[in-house]
Amino acid sequence: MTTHSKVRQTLACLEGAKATMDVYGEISQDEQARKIFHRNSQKLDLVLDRLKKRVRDLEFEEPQFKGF
Amino acid sequence: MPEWLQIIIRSVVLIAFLIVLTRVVGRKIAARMTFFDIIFAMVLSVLAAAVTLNLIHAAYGFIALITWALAGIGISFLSMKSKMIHELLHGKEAVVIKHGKIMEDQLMKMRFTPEDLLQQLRSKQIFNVADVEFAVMESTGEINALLKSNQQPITPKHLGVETAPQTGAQTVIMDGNIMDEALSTMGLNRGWLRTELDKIGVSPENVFLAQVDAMGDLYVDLFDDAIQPPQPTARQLLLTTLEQAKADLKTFSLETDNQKAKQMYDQCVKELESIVYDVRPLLK
Repeated sequence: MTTHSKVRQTLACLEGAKATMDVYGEISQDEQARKIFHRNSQKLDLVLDRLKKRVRDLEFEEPQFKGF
Repeated sequence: MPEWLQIIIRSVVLIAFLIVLTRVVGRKIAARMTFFDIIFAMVLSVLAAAVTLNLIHAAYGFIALITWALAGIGISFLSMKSKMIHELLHGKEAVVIKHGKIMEDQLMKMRFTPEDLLQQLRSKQIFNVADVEFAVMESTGEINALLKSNQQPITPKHLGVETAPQTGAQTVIMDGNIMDEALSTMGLNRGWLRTELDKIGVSPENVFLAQVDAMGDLYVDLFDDAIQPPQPTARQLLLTTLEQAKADLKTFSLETDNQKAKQMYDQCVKELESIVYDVRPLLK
């Protein structure tokens, strides 16, 4: 597996985790828990943005992997 | 009127009267009755029995009963309003063990022998007086004890462990019937329930009992006990995913030669660490 595909895989996993966290943020009955999930979902967004940028950089450096 | 008919009529009237009276005087568990309550109950029951069996004149009996009942209601009202009267009637709680030392004079005042004290403590699973920091004898004669701090059971707070707030689970299916009210208090509906049941491959008719906890996890018990429904794992999965991603990013950071990318990965690892730390108690 190339680095590029590995990073993309991690990115996908984290996107899934963020979606789960958002769901919990909505259905959780406790106000405090809601807040924690919302806050961490936003934090995770930052990480996702960075990783997406990294994937773009990798594709720019090695265009042969683009689309894989 | 024959004697037996009179007895029946009096009994029925008295039963009705006592039912009303016990409702009015208020609800107290027998074990929580103070000495005064017990005396009051005894007088009423003896009077009632005497009137039923015609041991005393029925009219006099009723007068006595009503007087006692009214006095009882009046006194319970007064003792609710005034602390002094309450203490006078029901007694005051007494500290019998203070800073781990038994207060002998207090015990004497309460006519409590050391054996009684030990027996009461034993009934609270305390066999060693040395473990007790503080004990109070309530006005009912019951003893409540506070253990020394190093003898108290360990709670998550002692361990510095944060726990998720637990609100009660709602029962959404009972005996195969969907409880719409419970669903709507959780902000869910039948559609959601059907989807969740589909996810674990169970038909709604086969569910004996289903509960949803505060995080929306569904627990089901089936009529057909041969089928093993999967336990909810979504929370654990989320935590594992985050941990996994953290480990992956660490690997990327080690593998890359690009200094800027390395920094970026390291920063992401730190962010993820703080996220995991934050949500872990909620996902446990």
